[in-house]
Amino acid sequence: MGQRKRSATRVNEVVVLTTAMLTFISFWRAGAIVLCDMASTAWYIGGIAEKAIGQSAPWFILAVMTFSGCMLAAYIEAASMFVRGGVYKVVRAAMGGTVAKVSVSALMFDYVLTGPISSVAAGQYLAGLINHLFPVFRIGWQVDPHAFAVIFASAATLYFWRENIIGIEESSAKSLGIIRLTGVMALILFAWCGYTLSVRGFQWPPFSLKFGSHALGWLEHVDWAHSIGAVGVMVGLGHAFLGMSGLESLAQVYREMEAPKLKNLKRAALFIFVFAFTLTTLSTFFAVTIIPDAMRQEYLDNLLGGLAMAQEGPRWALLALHSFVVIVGVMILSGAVNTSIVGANGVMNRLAEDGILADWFRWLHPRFGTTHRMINLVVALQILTIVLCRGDVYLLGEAYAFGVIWSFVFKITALMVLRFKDRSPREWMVPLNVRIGSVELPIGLSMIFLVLVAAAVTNLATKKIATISGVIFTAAFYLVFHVSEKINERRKRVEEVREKLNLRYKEDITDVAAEAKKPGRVLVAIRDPKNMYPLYQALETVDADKEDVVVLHSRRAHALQMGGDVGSLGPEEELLFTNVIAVAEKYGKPVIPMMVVSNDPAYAIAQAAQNVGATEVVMGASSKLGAEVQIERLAMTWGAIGQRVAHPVKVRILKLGGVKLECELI
Amino acid sequence: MVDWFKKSKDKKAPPAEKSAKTVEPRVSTATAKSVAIGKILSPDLVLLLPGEKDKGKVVELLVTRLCTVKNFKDSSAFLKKVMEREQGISTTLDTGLSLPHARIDGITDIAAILGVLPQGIQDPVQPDMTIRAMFLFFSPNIPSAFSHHLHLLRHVSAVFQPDFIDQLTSASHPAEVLELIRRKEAS
Repeated sequence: MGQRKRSATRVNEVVVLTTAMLTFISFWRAGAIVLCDMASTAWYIGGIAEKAIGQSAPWFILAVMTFSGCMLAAYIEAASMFVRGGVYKVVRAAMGGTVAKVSVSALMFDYVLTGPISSVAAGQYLAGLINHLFPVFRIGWQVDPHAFAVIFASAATLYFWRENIIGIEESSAKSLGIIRLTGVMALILFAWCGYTLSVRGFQWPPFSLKFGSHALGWLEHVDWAHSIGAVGVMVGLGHAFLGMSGLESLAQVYREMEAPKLKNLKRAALFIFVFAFTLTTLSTFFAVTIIPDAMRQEYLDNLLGGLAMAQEGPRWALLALHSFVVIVGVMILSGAVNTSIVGANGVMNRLAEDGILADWFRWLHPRFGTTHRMINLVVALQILTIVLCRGDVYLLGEAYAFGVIWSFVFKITALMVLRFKDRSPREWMVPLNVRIGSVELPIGLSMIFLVLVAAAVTNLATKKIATISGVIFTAAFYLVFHVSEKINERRKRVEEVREKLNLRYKEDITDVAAEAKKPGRVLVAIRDPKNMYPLYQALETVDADKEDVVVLHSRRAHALQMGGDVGSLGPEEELLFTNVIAVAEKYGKPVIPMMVVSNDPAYAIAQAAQNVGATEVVMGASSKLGAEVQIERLAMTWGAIGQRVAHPVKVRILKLGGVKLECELI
Repeated sequence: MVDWFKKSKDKKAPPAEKSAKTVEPRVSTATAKSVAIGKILSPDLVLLLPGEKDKGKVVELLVTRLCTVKNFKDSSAFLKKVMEREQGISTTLDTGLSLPHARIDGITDIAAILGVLPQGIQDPVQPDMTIRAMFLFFSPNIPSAFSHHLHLLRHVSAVFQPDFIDQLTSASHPAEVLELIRRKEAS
């Protein structure tokens, strides 16, 4: 027995690869992440818009929120084309890298301001509530709303910084909880508003525009502009465009959405539209119709708080309602900080994948597997913005619109260009397309484009702070991206971008059983980074709720080098697992990637399958050897391992186009 | 509207075989009939080969004997089939077992022969593997028999573990080898 030397074909050590990118979320959670930004604007958009355009603000907010449905449709089309999408990918595909860098620079301005405006607004609400409650408890103090807002905003930002370092699953769960509570609050508030209106009567807000000081920006002294109603309408819309912020986050979280992806994306879009439209529109209409004009001016930074206090009912009840509105407002507005960090992180990852950002940014947190350096950068800029704005919501709101609207303009332009540049079938398209001969005219997209461009150009002329700060910030970010890209080019980083993965070593292959937890286990053997067909097929049919998918790659090693040393991943292996993760993201189904070292892939597959408790093994057909020969070797090694297997294992050998061979091993 | 928001279960894609082209006939997934090595072999189909050193010669010897016992004509054609198969993926395992085989047109059942090599011979393709038992067999070249063919491969590999091969190489007579196999399968 001691005479023979067993060859080094058997696997000892295993490497299990992990990355936060393999966590998938439901459409509810995805929608909640977006809504924490988009729906949170209900707490400040009314006040900002009314300061700019007067009591007709609700009508413009209604128009913008209706238009948000069109933008959601555009985002669905874009996401269906690019799983890891967003404005950068779409614009780059359509118009090249330079324009894409400009668009994403504007988008980064959006994200950097989203956090501060939301958290500062939350601070203002909280300060307002505290100042109402102090007299009730006979406390003779009053907090300075602006100073308080800065302190609170900084604390909220740091809290969500930590949540994002830990990983998205935790923060999306909290977002969902926040949205649920917001829904409850909205129901109570709107029901109370209905009661108040039934007691006091109702009058629609006026249609007439009344521009506040500085609302016309550089057009203030341009007489002809005042006489053109359409210009006034566009100015009004421009001040209400804040209501659509957060949509870019939908593109960023799409990759994390679970299967069926497109269906869930549409559900998420509908959920977002209905919720945001109802909350934002109704709250601003009620605010104008219920809060007396004089009182409302005091509450413009705190409009829903004012709405609560202006209701019919005893004061203690109004204070309770006010407290509830503020608490929910603080939560959802703070949640927008989270959304901005998630979104910015996603955008920067896209840039890093393209070699725009230095690789240093993509290194994963050693414990949590998140891109912590990107998160740190975004949060640092947000804290700086909070300090610089000194708690002024209106100032932030005006600047904020620049990034929102211009990123939309770039995105829609890119989608229109791609309609002609890329004629491949879309899973979904924005409706209203007219076919004339072989050409399909995107009428729907064109109409969206025209509205956006009109509003964007108007905003350039009317929002001085937004234009100046937006242009400076966009230029600065563009410069950073451009220089970073040049540095990367100089380092001749010509290799394809690889997913950053954490490696977990298992000393014994028998330990891998713990990796799979669901009753069904499908083992997919992948050898070639360019041939993911077996994985596609497996993910197409697997039930992600009941089955784990283990993706196994066996690295061949010469006998002399053997010692079970898996070491680190080589370039080919990094590419292979990057592609594995891309396929998993496309289907929205998690996988467990593993790598072993073995001279005999059949042994590796058989050992891994038996130890993981696989119920099915899927592999690609070898063009050189033939499927029958492959499965014969698997059958031999299966028996040679000598482990008792409790159940038959289905084996599928696939060739592009269909199943080549299928059998059972008992 | 309510139903639309319910989390839908993944709809299983239609079986690939309905829509895709298959290049070769697919194997039935029905459970194969059980295999028993002790029933396939007989004392005249077990050879003790203490002096052999060359794998090719051992294969030829086993093919010739098997064809003789089973009255298969043209053993050279059978040998050619086995050697063709040997050009593909290795049939040698690290347990010391080698499984040369071929699927033959015209035969209706599995025919097998066992060679025991006490001194062991080096596998020419995988020099780090030593062959101490060679289970050579022919199986019918029909789709319905492929499952049985795979089960035999698996079963023989499972039975012929290193410790068991040690026992076989210590045997002095083919009947003793066969008895060891039958006792092993019975347990």
